[in-house]
Amino acid sequence: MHILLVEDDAMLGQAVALGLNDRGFNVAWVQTGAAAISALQHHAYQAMILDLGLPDLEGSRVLINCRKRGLRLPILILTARDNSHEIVQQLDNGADDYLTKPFDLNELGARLRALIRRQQGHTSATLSLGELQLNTETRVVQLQQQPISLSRREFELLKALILQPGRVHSRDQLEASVFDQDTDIESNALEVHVSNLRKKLGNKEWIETIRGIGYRLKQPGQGAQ
Amino acid sequence: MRSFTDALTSLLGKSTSIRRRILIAVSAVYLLCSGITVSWIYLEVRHEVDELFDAEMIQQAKTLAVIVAEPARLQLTTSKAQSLVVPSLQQHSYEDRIAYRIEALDGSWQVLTEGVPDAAAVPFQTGFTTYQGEQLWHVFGMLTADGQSRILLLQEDEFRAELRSDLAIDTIFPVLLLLPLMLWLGWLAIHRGFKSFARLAQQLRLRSNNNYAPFPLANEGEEVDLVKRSLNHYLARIEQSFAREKRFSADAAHELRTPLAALKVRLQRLQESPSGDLQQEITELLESTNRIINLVESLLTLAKVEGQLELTDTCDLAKVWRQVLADNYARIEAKQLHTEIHLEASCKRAGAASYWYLLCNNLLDNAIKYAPAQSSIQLTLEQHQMLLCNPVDSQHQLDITRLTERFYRGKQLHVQGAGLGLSIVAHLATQLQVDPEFSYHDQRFCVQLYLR
Repeated sequence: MHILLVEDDAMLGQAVALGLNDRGFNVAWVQTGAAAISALQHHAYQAMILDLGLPDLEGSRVLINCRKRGLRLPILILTARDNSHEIVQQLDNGADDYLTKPFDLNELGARLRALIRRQQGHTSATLSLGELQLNTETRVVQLQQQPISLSRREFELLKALILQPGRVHSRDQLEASVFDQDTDIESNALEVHVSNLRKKLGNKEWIETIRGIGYRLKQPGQGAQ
Repeated sequence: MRSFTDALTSLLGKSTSIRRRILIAVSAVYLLCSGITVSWIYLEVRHEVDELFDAEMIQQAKTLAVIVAEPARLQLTTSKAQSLVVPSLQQHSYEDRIAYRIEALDGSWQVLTEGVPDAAAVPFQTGFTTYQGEQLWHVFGMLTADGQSRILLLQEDEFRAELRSDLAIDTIFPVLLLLPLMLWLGWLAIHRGFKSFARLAQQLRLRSNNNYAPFPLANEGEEVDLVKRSLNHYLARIEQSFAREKRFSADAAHELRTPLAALKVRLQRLQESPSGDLQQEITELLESTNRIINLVESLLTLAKVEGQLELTDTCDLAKVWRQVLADNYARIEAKQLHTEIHLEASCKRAGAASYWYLLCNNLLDNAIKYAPAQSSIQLTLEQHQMLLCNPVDSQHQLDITRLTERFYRGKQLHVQGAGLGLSIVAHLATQLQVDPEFSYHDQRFCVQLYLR
């Protein structure tokens, strides 16, 4: 995987380049915005890691330049600023992801791989957890390879839970995933959908109620009846 | 005069209202000037009244010398009587306040009004004198034209004093009568003059926290414009100061995070390489780096919350707490902590959800860190207060008064942290207009937030 790294700090740039090389990436490292634009003109990269604070021109200008020229490679922004307005602006300008410094090298590698997979259309539409499978394109849910019929909201609820299994989701997060923004939500609407989903999954313990907070999905097979 | 100024100074010192002070000062000056004027008039009137009545006494004496002295002498010589007393007619209250005594120089006869002081009390003396008996008398004495007799005319001072008093009262009465009217008019004028200040005060009260726009100069008076100019100057300085602080935070974030990122990435690479004996040391170095990163993040957060936060948004505090609990649930479970949670269905508060998240997350982070394993954390959120309690190991020692100090960690140095969490909470609480209260009794630590 051929990656362009744009980072002006020599210590960080060198360390990231070496670290990513260790992880199977082929990294070309430049330290200025002008060098990045030039490199993109002469070589094809599968992704770019772009620092925002460059000495000659802002990383955001490099980003805008890329998108104006029709380059569709995934761009991951590296930033030392945690200003949410600026991050939103860069995502709106065409960045695909961002990471705040200091970061974990493994996380950077994983994000790059995910970005490249998505770009190449290799992302799977199927989310699995144990014997449970959910296809986000066909909207088919299977348990032990047997299809389960779910309503639209039950499907969205299960999708939100299966995306981060084992993690506690607040009821407000789940409501935002299941209901449209303009829908008036009854106070017990989420509980009704959770209850229906439990019945259809055939195991009440898979979706665990975290009292006063929300719900989480355990791996089907754990704590089965 | 000195006591008057002392009293005035004391009165002005006690009053906190500039309007009242001006009114008191103007009234006092008005009364002082009126008093001086009235006293001046009184002295002038007294002088003029004395002049007038003295002249009248001379005229009366002359008249008595011509009309009364000679016929009285003839009448008394003929009747061989020695004295003639003119009785009081009791026709007027002032009748007894004027008296005379006409007598021969050799003492052979005399004509006198009833009640006039005798020669022993008031001996004859030419010209004006005074006699102090039960009352004060003005006395005028003169010899007749033939030099055979003399006339003594007496006038009681009260006769003149009443006239003096009447004139003085007539002068001071309109001054006192007009005082309330003058005070009312003065109050109206001052009140109108101060309306511009009241408007300016209201504009200041209604201003949002982040509005540093200058106040327009609207020709509302020299004094108001002066205050506005000073305020505008001050607002501009505050705005510059906040901009500098924001720039500092952004610059500091960049300058600190980039080398820390380089350090962390390099240590991660070293950790992954087969370096044998050094593995343990590299792992410890990476842990220390992560601690420094946490400290820097806490310092940057503290710098951010010490500045002025925007409170234009509102958020649901119950939602924020559910999110904070969900995000920290893995840590709660890892320590096998029990949670007793009572949250209102909804609790709307001013301030962005991210600020409230930071505040609540810091509080819960502390509770999880210091609660012993398998103990219980209690959280209650009501409309007007929030309470978070957790037990603390008996070995922990806390000085409750120092909890919000930067870098204060008590004697819990083995617990990971920088001692900035509650300092951040205190700053956020101030900005979000809530009052935090910390308590520590019987190995139980509680934070109570009073939501205004």
